[in-house]
Amino acid sequence: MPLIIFALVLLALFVIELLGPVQTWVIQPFTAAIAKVSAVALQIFDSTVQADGIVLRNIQTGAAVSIQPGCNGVEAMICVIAAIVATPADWRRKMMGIGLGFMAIQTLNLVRIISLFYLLQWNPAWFEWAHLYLWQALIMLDGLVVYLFWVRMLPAPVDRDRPADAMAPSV
Amino acid sequence: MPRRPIDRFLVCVLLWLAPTFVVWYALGPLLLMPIAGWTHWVLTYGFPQAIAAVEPQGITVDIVTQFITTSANVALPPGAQAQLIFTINALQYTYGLPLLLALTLAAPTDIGDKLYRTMMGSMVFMLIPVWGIACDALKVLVFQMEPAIAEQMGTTPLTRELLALAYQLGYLILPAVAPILIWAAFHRDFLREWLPQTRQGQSISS
Repeated sequence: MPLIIFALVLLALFVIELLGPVQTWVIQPFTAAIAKVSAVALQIFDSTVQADGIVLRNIQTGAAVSIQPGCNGVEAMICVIAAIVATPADWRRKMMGIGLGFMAIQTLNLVRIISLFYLLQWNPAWFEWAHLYLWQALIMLDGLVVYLFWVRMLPAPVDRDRPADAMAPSV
Repeated sequence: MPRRPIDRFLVCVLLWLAPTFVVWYALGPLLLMPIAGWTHWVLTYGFPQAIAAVEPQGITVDIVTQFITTSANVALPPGAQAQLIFTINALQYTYGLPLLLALTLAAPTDIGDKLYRTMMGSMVFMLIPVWGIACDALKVLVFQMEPAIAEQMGTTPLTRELLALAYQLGYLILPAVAPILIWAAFHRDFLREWLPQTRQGQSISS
């Protein structure tokens, strides 16, 4: 059953994400906000960086990265949300897990964007490799780590089949 | 090393990721041969009027179509015709494989078990790039080529929407989520042991 719930929630959220109005009013502004936050973080030590919508640009060299679908962490978030919703727990804990997942994925995604921005200027071949393969796997691994830590924070289950006296602590 | 088995496992996954990525990239052309073969079978069987062949070329695959190109960019001798061929980076649909291998190798099982689970998991995972490449090839034909090609393929607004969804699913979601799901399916015993909270048929005390 949890697997079915996971698949249904995953598919439903993904379809919702792809809808035109959701893209226009949620995903694109969110992606632009990620670019803005990345630029602010970069400007702490590099004043040549500017954010222009979903594009992060070095105003001296002209090198730029565009944050596209798949690079904003939304899909990884969808997977984590689906996994958390499908796990038996109360909704307060589920919401906490989703919040934790959002923070963890977006923090690592910020590291990804910043690293890719500099990697592109250093070596485009390595940029391609890290962008297409390595970071995709790392972000998903991040999602798995968050999920495992969240599950571990849940209270231990009570076995209904065990007699009550068997659950009493021994002295 | 961390004391908790699950923490130790996660550290081992990180350590295994580097060698599995190196091996995966080095063996990429070899890995893509069966994937290209299965994609060839799916596309030529499912869309014989559109796809003639799927041919592996290193880490990419060439999609050989049944269509004749009319592009002015192609220089041809008088009277000659050119078959429309395009290339897809097939490796981008398989980046989940090194992650799956790292997860499997990091699990506390004996070497025989690791080999068995690696083989079985990789076999199941191979279906994901087949889906991704097939949808990518159809997406290029329907959305990126001349509108006449989409018409010839008999697409409708509904099938185009479904193709767009299948492509996005195969590009953005499946390659990432599949390794974790496959690993979890092959390691249910450890997950039950490490995370009793995920057990079914038991209530959560709070």
